[in-house]
Amino acid sequence: MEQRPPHPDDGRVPPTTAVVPWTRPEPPVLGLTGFLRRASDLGLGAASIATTAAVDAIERFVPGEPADPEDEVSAPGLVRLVPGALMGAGLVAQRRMLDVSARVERGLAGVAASLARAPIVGGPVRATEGYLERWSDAGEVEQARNRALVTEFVRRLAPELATAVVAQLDMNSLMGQLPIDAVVATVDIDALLDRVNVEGIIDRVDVEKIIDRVDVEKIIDRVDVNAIVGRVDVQGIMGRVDIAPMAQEIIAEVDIGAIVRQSTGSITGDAVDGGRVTAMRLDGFVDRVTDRILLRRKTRNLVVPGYDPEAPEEDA
Amino acid sequence: MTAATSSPIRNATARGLQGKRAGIASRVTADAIDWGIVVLIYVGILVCVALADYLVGSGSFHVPRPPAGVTLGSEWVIAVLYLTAGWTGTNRTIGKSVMGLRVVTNRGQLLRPRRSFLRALICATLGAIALAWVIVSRRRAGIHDIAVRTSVVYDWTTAT
Repeated sequence: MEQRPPHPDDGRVPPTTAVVPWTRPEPPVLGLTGFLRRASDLGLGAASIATTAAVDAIERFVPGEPADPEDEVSAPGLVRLVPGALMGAGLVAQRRMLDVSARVERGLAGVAASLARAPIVGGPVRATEGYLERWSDAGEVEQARNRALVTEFVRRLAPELATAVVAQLDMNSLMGQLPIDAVVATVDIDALLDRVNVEGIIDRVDVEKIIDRVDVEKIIDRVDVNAIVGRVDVQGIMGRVDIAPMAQEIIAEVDIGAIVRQSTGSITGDAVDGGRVTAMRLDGFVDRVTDRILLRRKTRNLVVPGYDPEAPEEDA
Repeated sequence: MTAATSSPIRNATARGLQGKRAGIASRVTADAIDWGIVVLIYVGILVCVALADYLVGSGSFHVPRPPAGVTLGSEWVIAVLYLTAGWTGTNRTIGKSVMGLRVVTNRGQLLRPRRSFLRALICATLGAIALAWVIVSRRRAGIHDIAVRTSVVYDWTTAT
């Protein structure tokens, strides 16, 4: 069987995205040890913050030697080790102190229990214990009220603080720093559109109302019809049109016979008029020849009195 | 009689002569057309007679050839009826309509049937002789015009 060399990832559980819910730890029973624990935690925390701040200040104003760029594992400076060392020493001291405090407390509790059961001193001891217990209860109640006040204060402060922070932000600059293109590239637009109910949106749109608000005349004035027509491939359209049926339909609608009759009648009328005018001139020519032969000098009487070509009257 | 729409006359000479008495050339042309129509009517009658004889008679199609006297007499009758009908109806026969002429009285009025019939009798009887007087007449009047006091005028309107 082939032996595979060991790998650093062997035996590791792959990372998951599961979230472990955070639960508030139960507060320890208030006693001498609990008081010391809280006080020491607070003191250690404050000391750690102060020490770290002091070390940062020292490194900023008194810079040490630059780190060797070729050293892959750069060793922290001596000053930087101080906060961690102090915290570690403090925690060990706290644990030992709390162990001692717990043993002393248990001893005192045993002694107090014994005293409380003693016939002579039992009464004062129990009275003292009850007195202390009442004050302890009052303190716990006061602490609970203070926690409630702080919680309410934070709840009210958070939106005001967020509003103030947003007001101070330069949104344009912030938007410029955001990798919007990268974010958009990761968005599946098709899937997003599939989830949109377009029909429902269209049903809710009052198209008539929108059209009433549109100034169509203004839009038409802005349209360059000549440019649009110039982009139309008229030759291509004509090539796709079946002209033969259209021509037959047009010919069927047009009374070609009437057109031919009118044109023929016009030509015939012109010919007849030409013949009439020729005959008229010939009439005058014959009259002039005859009058010359007969030695007439007086012109002929061609007028018919009372005759109106537009409205001839009936013979009486 | 009422006036009807008239066609515009583009020729200035013709426009100036409207309503004036017509000369020999126009009238001879119109009468020649009318005479041709009379002959056509007569030939048509003969063809109809032949067709009737073919259908109900001998069974052979044969256009009759009547004697000259019968032909002249028939054409005379046809001419009288044709001219009377033309002058009484629209005051113009087909020939005069083609040449743009109209027969009116010397006072410019339309003819009545009796005057039209008398004029037709004279025209059909004398024929070209009556018409020849137009050449020498100062009023361009033929013998029949003088007899029944009528005139033939240029009238290109379509009024009847």
